[in-house]
Amino acid sequence: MKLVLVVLLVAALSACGLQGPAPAPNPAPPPGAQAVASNRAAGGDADGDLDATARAFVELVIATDHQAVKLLDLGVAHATSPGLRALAGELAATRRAELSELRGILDTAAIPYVDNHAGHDMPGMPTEAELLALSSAPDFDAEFTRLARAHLTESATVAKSGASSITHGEAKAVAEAMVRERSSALRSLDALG
Amino acid sequence: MTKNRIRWLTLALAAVAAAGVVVSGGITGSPEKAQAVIRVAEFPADCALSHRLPDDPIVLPNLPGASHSHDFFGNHATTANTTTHQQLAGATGNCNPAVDISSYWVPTLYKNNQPVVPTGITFYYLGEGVNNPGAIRPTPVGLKIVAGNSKATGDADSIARWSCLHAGHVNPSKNFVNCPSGTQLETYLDFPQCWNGTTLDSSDHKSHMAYPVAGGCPSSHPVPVPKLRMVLRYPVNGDPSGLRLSSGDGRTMHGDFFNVWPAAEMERRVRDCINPVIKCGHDGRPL
Repeated sequence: MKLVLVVLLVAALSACGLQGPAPAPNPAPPPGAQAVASNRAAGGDADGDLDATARAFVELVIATDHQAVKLLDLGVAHATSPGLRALAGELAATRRAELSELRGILDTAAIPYVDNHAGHDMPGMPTEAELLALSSAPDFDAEFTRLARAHLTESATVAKSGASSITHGEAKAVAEAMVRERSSALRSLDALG
Repeated sequence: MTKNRIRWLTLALAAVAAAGVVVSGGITGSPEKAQAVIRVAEFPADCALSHRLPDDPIVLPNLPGASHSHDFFGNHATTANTTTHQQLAGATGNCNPAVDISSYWVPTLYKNNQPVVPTGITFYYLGEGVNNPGAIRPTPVGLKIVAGNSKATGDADSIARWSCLHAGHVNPSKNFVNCPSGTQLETYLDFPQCWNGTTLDSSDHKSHMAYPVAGGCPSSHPVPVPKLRMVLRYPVNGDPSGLRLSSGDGRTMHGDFFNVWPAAEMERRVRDCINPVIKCGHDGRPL
């Protein structure tokens, strides 16, 4: 009891006496710290060859493609139209190839993949709610076509941004290939009516 | 130990605690002046919705169209491509005070899939959270701070807070709440206020900042800056089942802050309002 009270008293005294945030050493920032920091503003942190933009792009497309594969596999399994089934199969295979390329880019840079977008309403990413609704849609083919078109259109926008902003060679090449593939897939989808 | 000694020690502790409150409140100036001001370390900025874009200059820099939808407040020029404060410095914003051309953004709120425009958007800069507001330094120009967890999957990993304006009897929750008719849904978000003192951003956009521990900034993040508290009010109430954020349910509420306050304006407010623990108005003068 006595010890507890003494400890409390000492703690209270030091808290009001020192006025410091903590008794532990708490170095003040060196003079001019702000000016130095301001000059470093541009670009953010670099991670080897993979800068912030390239890394964000790779992580986003991995997250998007994971969801797209789920959508496309549903199309392969449930679409009535043979043409739609075949297109879904082609696109699913392309997404899987894209995923392994993107994973390879992170592996080379020794960056573990983190899904920053799970549960988000991201451009080009079919959501879990949409996939669930698709399974019980009265007209599966129509709803699948709508979701596939949204994926391709929005993913094309992301790919164009990546192709024009990314400087990392391999990631830029993936983005450029995505622009071509999304565009050609949209034409195929339109051709199926 | 006798009862008397215990009583004496208790009284001594109470006196010490009371003294601590006064000292940490920061006595400055003459007694007359001290009585005239409100002893809360605070200055505000009130802003409006500027624009809505699927962009995020911090998390998805230079990738327009790659983000979930965000509501941008303050600086009118913010896009995925404005990744440095120099790019925002020449622009105007819609905050009061107009000198605050900082950029603030949050995920878009939808009710039955229709976007909702927040009607009350206040950013409080506060001296609370650390025991010694006198040591708080101005937020450096260009500092980027992210608060909240856009990936929250439950209450445990969320710091979101939802409540009702004018309906204090509705308990606050980490997820959306059912606000009575005639009231508004509101949300609070406290940003981390301890800076590492060297970098304006970090690769995870979080680790250059930290929350205080036991009233002080940790030695890894030794520089206290004003605590930013965002308060948003949305003109919706009733059944929250039709509500969602572009990042998920209410627990995924998060906010991004890109500081573009002119250095002199921020420094003046920290010196005149935060350090001496005085409540200031939008102009940064004592109320």
